[in-house]
Amino acid sequence: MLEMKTDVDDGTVTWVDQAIPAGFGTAADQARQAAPADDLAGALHRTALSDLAAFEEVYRELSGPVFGLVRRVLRDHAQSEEVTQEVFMEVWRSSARFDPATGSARSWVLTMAHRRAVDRVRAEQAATARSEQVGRLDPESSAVDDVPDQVEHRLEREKVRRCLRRLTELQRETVRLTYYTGYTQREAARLLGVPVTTVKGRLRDGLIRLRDCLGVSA
Amino acid sequence: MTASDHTVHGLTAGYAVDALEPDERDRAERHLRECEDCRRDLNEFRETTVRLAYGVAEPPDERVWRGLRSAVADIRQLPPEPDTAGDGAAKQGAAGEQAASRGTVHSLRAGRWHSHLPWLVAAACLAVAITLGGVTAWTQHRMNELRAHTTEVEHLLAAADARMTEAPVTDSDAHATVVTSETHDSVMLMVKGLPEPPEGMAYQMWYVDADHEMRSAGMLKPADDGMLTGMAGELGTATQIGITLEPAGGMPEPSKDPMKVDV
Repeated sequence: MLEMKTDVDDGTVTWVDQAIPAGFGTAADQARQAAPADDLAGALHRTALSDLAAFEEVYRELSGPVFGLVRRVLRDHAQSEEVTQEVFMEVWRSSARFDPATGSARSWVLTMAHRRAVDRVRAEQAATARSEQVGRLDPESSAVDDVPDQVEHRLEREKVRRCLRRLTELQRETVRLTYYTGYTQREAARLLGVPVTTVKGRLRDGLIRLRDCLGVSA
Repeated sequence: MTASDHTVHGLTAGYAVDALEPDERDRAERHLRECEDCRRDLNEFRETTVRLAYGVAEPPDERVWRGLRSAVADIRQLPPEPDTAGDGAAKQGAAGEQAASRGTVHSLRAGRWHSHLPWLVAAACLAVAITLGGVTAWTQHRMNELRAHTTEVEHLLAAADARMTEAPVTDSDAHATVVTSETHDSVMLMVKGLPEPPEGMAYQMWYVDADHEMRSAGMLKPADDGMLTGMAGELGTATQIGITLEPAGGMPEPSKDPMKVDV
């Protein structure tokens, strides 16, 4: 959310936090969400016309989430920078192919980022090396905990953390092992020692509960 | 709803977080084209994962942006997509049929080409690594060269009529993989098995027309694993590509009768 970038010290952030209800999105909530999303779609559109300033706008808004996400999956800092750069090169290259009818600009870019990170780890077959670092099944370890505390996006992080805590442990673990770690459902099932069908169900339930808790409307 | 419908519907969440096995991914993509409810679910799940990504946001070092800013100026941007996914599949099918009639040809599935050509990915990664590693005039030049090459290659491979053939190189133990596209009027050559050229020498490519006219198609460059690669436009009516050993800068005409590869 762009609002999260406001200076924490000037008090506006408190206003933002109160304005976002914990449950379903209100009309006001949606309106505020829609504004930056539209800006971003506009910036992508201008990027397609080789507008470097517009491309920088897209980068400034999304490089944090892209890099943070890629780093959760890849772990390696240098590789994560590489993949982040690849993702934005791809954004530049194919910005004319973004279709607002199929989803938001943020979702388009982050889907690309996740897919690339996951493809990279799977191609490298690095699962064994990585699994030692995953810290699986530590009840207190949700992937957001090991993120350095930065002012930017702090409220969003707290909110995500809160919503993750509301999941059952198995829901949380399936979301963490798939989205944040990049395992397939089958791999997650093996790690958790439960049938694949259970993982599929918990993942779906977990995403639905997160969607509602975060007030997401597509 | 049948049992199998239910199984496919259940793939949406897994698809949204890229947690499907390759065969499931293909099934989910096919199903999503048909199922509007599933597309709505997918959008909501993806907007949810956007929030999860914001929850772990971490700004990258500023050098990532600096690298990008200088890199994108040389990256050609794709035009808007003219067709839907369905049309694309139909086109690929048509290209496949056309290709099949030409003998030992593999149709290239757009988006999957990197599984055939890992070195291209390596080249792209190298370009990025160089971008991150500090920019001297030389690395900048080399980077532009690589990037331009990679972008051209990507475009060639994404062409609906791109086709790949494997062919022996005459008068040698080498064999070549040739990718051509008539709409792009270009060709990419990957040659394996040629001896390393002596110091100051390099392999040059020649377009050979039906009447044995030859024009230079540029130099082959060493890639990973002793492989040589070359990319050239203006394929025209060439039926073969010739290869000769020449001084490193290239010659206006081949100094001897070239080894040849059918295209």
